Amino acid sequence: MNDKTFPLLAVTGLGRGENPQPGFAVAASLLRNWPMAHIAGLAYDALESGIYATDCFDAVFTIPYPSVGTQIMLERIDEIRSKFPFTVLIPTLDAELELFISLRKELNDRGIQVMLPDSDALKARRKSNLPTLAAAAKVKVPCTYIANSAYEAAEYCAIIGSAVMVKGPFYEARRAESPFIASVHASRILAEWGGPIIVQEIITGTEFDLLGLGDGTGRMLGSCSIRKMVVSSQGKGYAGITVHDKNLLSVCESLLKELKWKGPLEFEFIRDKDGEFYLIEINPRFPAWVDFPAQLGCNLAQAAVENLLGWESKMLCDIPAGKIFLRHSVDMICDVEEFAALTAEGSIVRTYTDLV
Amino acid sequence: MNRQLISNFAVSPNGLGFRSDTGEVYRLNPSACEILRLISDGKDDVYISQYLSEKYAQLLPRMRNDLSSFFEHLENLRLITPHE
Repeated sequence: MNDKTFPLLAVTGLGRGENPQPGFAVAASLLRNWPMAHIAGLAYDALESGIYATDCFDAVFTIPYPSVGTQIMLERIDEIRSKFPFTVLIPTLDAELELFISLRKELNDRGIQVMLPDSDALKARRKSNLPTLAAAAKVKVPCTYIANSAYEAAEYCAIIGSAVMVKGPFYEARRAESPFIASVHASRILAEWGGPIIVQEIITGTEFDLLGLGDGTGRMLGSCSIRKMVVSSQGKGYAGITVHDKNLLSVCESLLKELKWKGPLEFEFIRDKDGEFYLIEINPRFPAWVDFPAQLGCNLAQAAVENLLGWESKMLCDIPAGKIFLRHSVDMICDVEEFAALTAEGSIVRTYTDLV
Repeated sequence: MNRQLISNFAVSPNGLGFRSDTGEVYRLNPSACEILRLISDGKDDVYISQYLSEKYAQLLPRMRNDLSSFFEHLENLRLITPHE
């Protein structure tokens, strides 16, 4: 397969700033295995830094925020495909998944394969539904309450009786030492992200993540487990070390089996002093560190595309324990013309024009 | 008494201990390395204390006492387990 016959790919989530999005790392992983691939970046904002990585995206297009609804998004996708007829779409942001799931049929009708889980599975792993899922999979979760107002968040904090995490439905997690602080955080999150608010007991311990790839039948096609070594103020892993823990893998396999998940997902756990794993979150997409295992020979983005397209996938290799990643920020340089083109025309087309 | 290192714990020749299930890394001084190597070779407490007492010219009771504290520390870290 050469660069003219290889399917054109599109990826969302190009920001690599303080809260890095996974799209750039997904594209980097795909190019690692398929250097001939052409990838379009789909950006919500002209300031997503990955847009300006000229060695990654052949073209970049702006797309409307998911809140605009299905029709406007579909029209924009049609416009984009008139310039870059991609046939594989990899959404990487939590907040856009429901919209793309509701567009799955329309996208499939256009010949676009989309990497998405089943709608029921997406709902089952919501923060507000985690206790139910965890019970079904016999996995421990911290004591969790669902609040629909700042007042309720304060009440639940008082019931838990210690410091709590106050979390938004998609993003944001803030520590609250008292019911009053819990209500302040809840008000802020409700204003920004909407509800419900999750009020969760804090488990003291070490954070572990497992990036897994499900085949849709309950089987794990590949995985990489890490212990977070550096955590940012927003709870993002800025450094991690690969680990091999049979218990962690077994817990994640139980959850994946219960969900019958198709595609990538990231399990987040706290391991307490007794070695018990508590499920904190399940992110329904690749994490921002997905290119780390790819650099060690376990390319889960590649395997996900192969699975999506029904291609034969190579067995994913076992990553050795003790490999470390450290997030490293660089300053992207771009010309104002590119920035203006994206802002005014909604597109930057770089190296793909000869293929149209 | 015999002890054994947990299966997930490895010690490199340059004094780095790594626990592969938790990702925890330990920097070991030469005597700690030596003790862990002796445990790994299946030597019991009596042998280890006698060996170190001769090697470092320390009285045997004191060496036993120091070793006992060190084993307790390793057990608290869950890096060794008793092996009868």
